[in-house]
Amino acid sequence: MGELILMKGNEAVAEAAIMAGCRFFAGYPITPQNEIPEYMAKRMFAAGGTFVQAESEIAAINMVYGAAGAGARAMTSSSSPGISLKQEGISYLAGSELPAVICNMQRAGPGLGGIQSAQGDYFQATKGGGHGDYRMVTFGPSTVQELVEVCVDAFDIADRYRNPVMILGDAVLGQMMEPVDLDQAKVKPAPAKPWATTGAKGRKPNIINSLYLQPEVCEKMDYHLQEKYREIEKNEVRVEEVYLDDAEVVGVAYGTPARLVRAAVEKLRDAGLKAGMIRPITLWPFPSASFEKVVAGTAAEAGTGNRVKSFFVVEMSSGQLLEDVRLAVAGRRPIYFHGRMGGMLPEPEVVLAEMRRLLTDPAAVGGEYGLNYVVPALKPEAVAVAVAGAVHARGAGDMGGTGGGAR
Amino acid sequence: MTDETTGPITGKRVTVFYGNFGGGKTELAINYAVHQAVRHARAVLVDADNVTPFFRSRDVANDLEKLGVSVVAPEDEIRKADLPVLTPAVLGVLANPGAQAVFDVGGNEWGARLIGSLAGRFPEDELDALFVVNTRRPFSRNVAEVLSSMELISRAARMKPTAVVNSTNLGRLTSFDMILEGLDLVEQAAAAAGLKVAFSTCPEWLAEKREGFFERGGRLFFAIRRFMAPPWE
Repeated sequence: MGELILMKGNEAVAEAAIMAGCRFFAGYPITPQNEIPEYMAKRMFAAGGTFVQAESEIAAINMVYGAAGAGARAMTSSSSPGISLKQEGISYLAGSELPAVICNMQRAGPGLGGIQSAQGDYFQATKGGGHGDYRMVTFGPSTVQELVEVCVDAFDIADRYRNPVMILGDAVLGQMMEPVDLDQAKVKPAPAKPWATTGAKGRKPNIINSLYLQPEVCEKMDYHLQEKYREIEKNEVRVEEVYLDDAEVVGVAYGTPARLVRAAVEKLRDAGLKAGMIRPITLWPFPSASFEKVVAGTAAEAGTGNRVKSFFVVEMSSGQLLEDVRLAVAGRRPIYFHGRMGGMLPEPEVVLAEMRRLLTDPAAVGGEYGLNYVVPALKPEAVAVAVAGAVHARGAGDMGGTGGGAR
Repeated sequence: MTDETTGPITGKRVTVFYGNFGGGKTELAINYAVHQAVRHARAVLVDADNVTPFFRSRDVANDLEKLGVSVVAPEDEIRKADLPVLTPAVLGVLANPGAQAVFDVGGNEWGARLIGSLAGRFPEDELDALFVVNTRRPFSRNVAEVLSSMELISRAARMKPTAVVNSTNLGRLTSFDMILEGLDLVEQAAAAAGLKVAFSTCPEWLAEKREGFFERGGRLFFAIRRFMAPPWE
């Protein structure tokens, strides 16, 4: 164990990137993520790398495209409005199969929104904010220490699959200070990159490209990407499961709200109530299997999680994570939702009270704070349809196989 | 003997806390203002942090008012903003010989720039300019880093420190040994800059009292009660 130091989330993610071998950073200022480029500006030169304060977010992501193409571990960061500007570049990174890490410390939106913490960019990150059929690995860490660990992981995954990876934080996570042990991060060396544009002397030139004018060739590339995404879904899910063995109500949250839900779960356990939690650490690939585990099976199959009566999703958005939970649960249990927006944090007392009521008196759930609603369970005959739909949406169907044939 | 209500080299009418990001300036400024309010019946806390619109003393202004501390900060719709705004009330506080004022300055050279714009307005004879160092923070990990931060930040603030405060802490994981370890480094840095260490901060659960100054092992400490806990704690 190394010496603990006190770091802001933004500083920690920057330091972790340098530790992971990031030697190119380009960014443009925006609250609440400014400490990332500021830290990089102070540290990157001594680390032997390059820091650029770009003229815009768009320039920064395209500089990252260039550096990644030349084989560097490269990163950019911003906050919500700035991340919107980077979407074209992210799509190009995915299309050209370039590894890069993008950090989004989310603030309130839409538009200029506000500078306080929010999670309204979940869809943008996990469902493809840019154009085209691409996917981006998205981490949703909830502590400063975890920011360090996922950042190192992000560079590794980006290189291994030649794909952009996003760290989706929020303003509170970026600004809060917690003790961190940097030595806990398991840094793996970057793999060889024979595809990189490192100078073509003595070999055929490498070309970084995402343009395919012949539809047959472009589709072949698309199938290749889809196969890669299926591999990522198989190998790279990260999740924390809390008290799932006997939980009756399962909280679901990522990032800052996960801290509130976790605190509520512990308080309810202290009171002898069977609360649990599924905390997705990767938002894509989504940890659907954790949900499957606790909703599949019949009442007779003890231990398969059939004790779970309902789920309770908490977000700093209007129900975006909720949609992935709905796909995973597929109508087999009711899902209760509590969301705040605009930079407002869910109140710890409300989260605790709602979850307690779900465990003791579900009929009374639904307070006057924030956005609350209930997604009821479906009738049994509708569940089969919903489950089939969810399986298809998760990409576990036979599309990959067809793709293989088409190549 | 030390005057335990003020410390030997502090206690002037205007106190400025400045230094790197995350050194513990806000909690220190809040606690110091509360301490001044106890000694003088009232105190004013100037929230001059315009670089990080999160975890600022204005967020607990209502609690502080009850303790005799008025918080001066931009109001209404720009209260939550990060604009470089100082309200006219700040000049009033500096000019009023009866006001006990504590300045909570934003982190790093960027935060210090705001008080730099007030150069010449601080009452020199009545000023404690305290440079705050937490040795468990990046850019404060050794003497060279502390000196270089002090140089950058003093220049931006257009204010030379009159003394240094050791605020070494790891939040909830702070230990007394850790504070003493930090004090060694801070004393070396202060000596190199020709300054003295005014005191060390100490979280109340490690302190001998909840509020104010106390001595231990010939060293002076100031108790810190936490005002800015995250909502899940």
